[in-house]
Amino acid sequence: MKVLNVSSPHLNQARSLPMLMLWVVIAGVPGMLTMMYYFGWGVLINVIIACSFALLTEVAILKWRQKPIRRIITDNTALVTAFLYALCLPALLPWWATALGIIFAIAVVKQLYGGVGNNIFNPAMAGYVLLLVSFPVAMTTHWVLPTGLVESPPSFMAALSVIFTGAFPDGAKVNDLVNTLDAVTGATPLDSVKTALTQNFLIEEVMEAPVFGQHGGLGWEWINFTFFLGGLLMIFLKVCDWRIPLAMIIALFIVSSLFYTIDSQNYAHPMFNIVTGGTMLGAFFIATDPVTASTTPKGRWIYGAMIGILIYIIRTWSSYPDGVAFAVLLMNMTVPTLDHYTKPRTYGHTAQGA
Amino acid sequence: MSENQQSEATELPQNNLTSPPKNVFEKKAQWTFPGGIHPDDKKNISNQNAIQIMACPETLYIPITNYKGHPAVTDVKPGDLVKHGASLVTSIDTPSSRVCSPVDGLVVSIEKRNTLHPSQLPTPTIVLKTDESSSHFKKPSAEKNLSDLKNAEILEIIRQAGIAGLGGAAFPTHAKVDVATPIKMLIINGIECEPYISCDDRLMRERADEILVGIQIIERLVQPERIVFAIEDNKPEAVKNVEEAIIAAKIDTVKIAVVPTKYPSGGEKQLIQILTGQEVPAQTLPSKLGILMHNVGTCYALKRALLHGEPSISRVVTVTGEAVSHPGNYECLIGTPIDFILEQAGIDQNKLSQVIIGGPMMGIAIANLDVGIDNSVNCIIAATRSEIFHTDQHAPCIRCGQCADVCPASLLPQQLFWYANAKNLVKLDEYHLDDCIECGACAYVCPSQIPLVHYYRFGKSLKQQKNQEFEKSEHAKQRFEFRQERLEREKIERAQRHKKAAEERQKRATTNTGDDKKQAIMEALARVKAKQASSAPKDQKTE
Amino acid sequence: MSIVLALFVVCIIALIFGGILGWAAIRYKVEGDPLVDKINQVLPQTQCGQCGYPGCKPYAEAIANGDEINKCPPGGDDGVRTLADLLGRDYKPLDASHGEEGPKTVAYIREDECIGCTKCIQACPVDAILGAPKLMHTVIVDECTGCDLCVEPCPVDCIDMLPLKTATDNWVWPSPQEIIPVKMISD
Repeated sequence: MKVLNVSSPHLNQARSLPMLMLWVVIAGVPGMLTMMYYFGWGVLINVIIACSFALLTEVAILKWRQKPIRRIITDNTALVTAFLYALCLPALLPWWATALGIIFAIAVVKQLYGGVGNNIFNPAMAGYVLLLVSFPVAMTTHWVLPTGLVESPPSFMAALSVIFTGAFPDGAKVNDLVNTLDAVTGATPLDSVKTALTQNFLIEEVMEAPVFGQHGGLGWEWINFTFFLGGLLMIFLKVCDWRIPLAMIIALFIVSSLFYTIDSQNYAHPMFNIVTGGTMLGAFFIATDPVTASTTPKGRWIYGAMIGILIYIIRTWSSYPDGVAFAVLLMNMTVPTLDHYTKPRTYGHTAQGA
Repeated sequence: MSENQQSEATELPQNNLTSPPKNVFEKKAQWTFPGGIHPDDKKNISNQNAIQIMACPETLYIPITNYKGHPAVTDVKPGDLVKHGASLVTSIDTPSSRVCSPVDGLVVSIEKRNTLHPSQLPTPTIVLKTDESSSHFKKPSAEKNLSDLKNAEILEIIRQAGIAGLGGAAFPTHAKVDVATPIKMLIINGIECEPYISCDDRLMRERADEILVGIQIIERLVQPERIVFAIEDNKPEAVKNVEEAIIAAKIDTVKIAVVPTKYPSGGEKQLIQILTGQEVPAQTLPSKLGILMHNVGTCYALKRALLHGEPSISRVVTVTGEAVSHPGNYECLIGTPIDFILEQAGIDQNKLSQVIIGGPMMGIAIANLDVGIDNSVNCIIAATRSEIFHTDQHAPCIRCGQCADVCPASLLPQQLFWYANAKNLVKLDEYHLDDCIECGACAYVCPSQIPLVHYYRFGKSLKQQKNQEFEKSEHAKQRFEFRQERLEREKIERAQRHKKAAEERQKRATTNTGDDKKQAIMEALARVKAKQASSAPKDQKTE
Repeated sequence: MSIVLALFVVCIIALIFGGILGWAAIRYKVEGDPLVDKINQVLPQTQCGQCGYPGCKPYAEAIANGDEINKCPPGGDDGVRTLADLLGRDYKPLDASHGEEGPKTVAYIREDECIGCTKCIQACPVDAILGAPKLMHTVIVDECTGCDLCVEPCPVDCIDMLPLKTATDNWVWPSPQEIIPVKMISD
């Protein structure tokens, strides 16, 4: 009889890492479908492009690093990174931009740091930020206008054509169609608010624009709601931590309420902040990335809350419309320090750690 | 133990009461410990039938080590005929422990054999051939009256009987009940939180009255303010039987606390936290809080030893797992080989994949089955391949923190893993590796299936090795310095002697004339002659 | 005028700081040389002299005065790393001219061959050998540091250096990567 494993325990009932990752994708699918309803097939095409390039990059690097490819590829972590990354992109982004971001995310941010478990920064957000700082216009103002503003989002063929050739099948260029009557793309609600406020409009006036819905951006309310439901599913299944999203949403709500109470003319309604942009995707899917988040219970509260506060600061006072990616990356940097100072009190020790 | 208490405690407390106690239950436990898990307990495999008596094997194997795995000394030599109850092994550590002979028999040899130690290193072992004519499980002799015994005498009987904690740690009981500090609370641990194990459960169901007598013996020795008998709520029959036994024996000092099922609530520190809300300070014993804990099996063994004169020669072992056809609880003699026990329980070699000694959460897997059990073996699991978890490779840690959420000691297992892997002993200390109780809850929930406890054991033994090396080098340094000092001192002394001799010579040279010189030469010659004549060793100086 | 003022101010500042430094030098005076003691703590105290110094303390003093840190084979690679950390110097591989890192050993005297010459007793730096002239000698295993110094002087070559035995009380759990064929996926 061969002893398989001398040391205890001899039981393990956890969901394995590949399953855990698969559940993240499953929980994100409703959100993706809602995005497809509002922005068309481009969302799915982005996801497919990102996933393919993510897997290709991962295989290439693993081969180079002489690591067991099959086992690592099947842990699904690259897939999750690509999936979440793609959900942050505008639906009609050129394919090469999507590819560039994810190659950077997998090759540099994940594998060069030692692969899954060793990276400091959230790869999906790093890839997204690379695109955001390189192509700010394409990333912020070329969003497909949501269903409701236009009759229907671009058809599958139209989306495919724009993504791969930069032009609609009838030859019209995307860039030419901005700010025209039959425009298909435009700025996101967050960007619109920012632009309008710099032109001395009041929030109330801004909110009357057609790009806004009842609480937040048109369509974005439902996208955030479905991501919220997906997030609840993950928490229920213990796929992700519950402290980070809770802390982040509460912090975002408190800060935005504070400024809204002080000056409701220049600062958006708290609900607007909660249901617009990448808030819910960020709270449940991005900030909870276990590798780059704080790992102590107390640290997670602080980590989540600080992300919420930073999102508000970046949205309100910086030149970028949304702040989820920057907030997450900034907080990623603080994780070692946070973990060091938030060690839980061990059984039998005093709070001072003696 | 003061003299006052000794003279008071001449009678067992049970005689003080005439009517049954009204309420034998503690208030519902108000506290809990952080973390914990709820594994499938699989106790019904083995807890269906009454405790059976395991046959006596032809040969018993008794390793010459003590409860810590340190070497001990043996009191017998090959060829000796030993009597039932005779001392076989005595530990040289403090507190001392002892193993008594379970049978009348012949010491065939003392040889290096496999043991249950996780190292599986061969250890000197007494091979004892049993005398078939003697009956091994003797009928209980008439109960003795303990009231005329002094406490010191009772302690001596416990020591002689070789009783040790039967919960798993096997700490000598005589040392544990001989407390210096006043005890506020005596906890009887009937939790048995690990899956599969049911020996304490069956003992409580069948021999609750005898356990209670054992408890009263401890009560008399340590004079606790209160006694709590803790049982997990997945053992309702045990609770009922203990309750009935308390009422029948008319004891009003023992209260039952029914504790919600959660692993590892049977851990000493965790149970104290559940029952009192207090934490045992790090690196100290529960007696610091005035708490003492004993396992139900130990109480039973105490009763057998003191009232029937039966030393600790057997224990109830749960034999379970899907690879045995007659799982159940067996009263086995200490030293009974594991393969013999499994054979008796109907092992199916084709189904057997791994044998685990202890529970599935904290036990160790062993390869060699021709090893005798000792009194820390509470369970033997003959597991099939599908029954136990095993993976050849684990995924990297993703720091998901689920391990930290289930850790009963509020450690950060993910950080400990990281530093154990890097052999960073300073950081392991900083993250309190020493407070890990190795319960395995972290590895149980780990999605990357990392054998976390193995990493901690590795880290702990590295630390121990480092400490040993440091102690040794400190010791060597002292001895080196001492030697240097001695050499220096001798050098000075020699120089002084030379100087003195020279002065003497000079003095004589100045005061006396040739006669003296002549005399000196004569003397020297005489000395040389005497030296040549004698056969005694020469100059004994070692420099 | 302003230059004079500046000079004056700078002089005053210099005086103040000089005063503080002088006071601190007296107030926080360090007795002895803790560095040597710290280095000595790291050294394995085998007193084997392989480093070329007559014992661990002299080598510790030499290191404190700038000697290389890689001359101690019994301390091994770990020892060099610890010293490098302690002193803020660069790590260097063990200097092979002083010997190689080997398993821990203890001296063992083949007692029927021993002639009782006491030479090994004189060589032992920690007084770990017992014996008297013309009587058989033996090693106190617990005190032996495995320094090898007794082997050379023995005229009849009856001293062996045996590897230290692993028993249950000094056994170390094997690294998880060793016994389970675990390969960390990520590294």
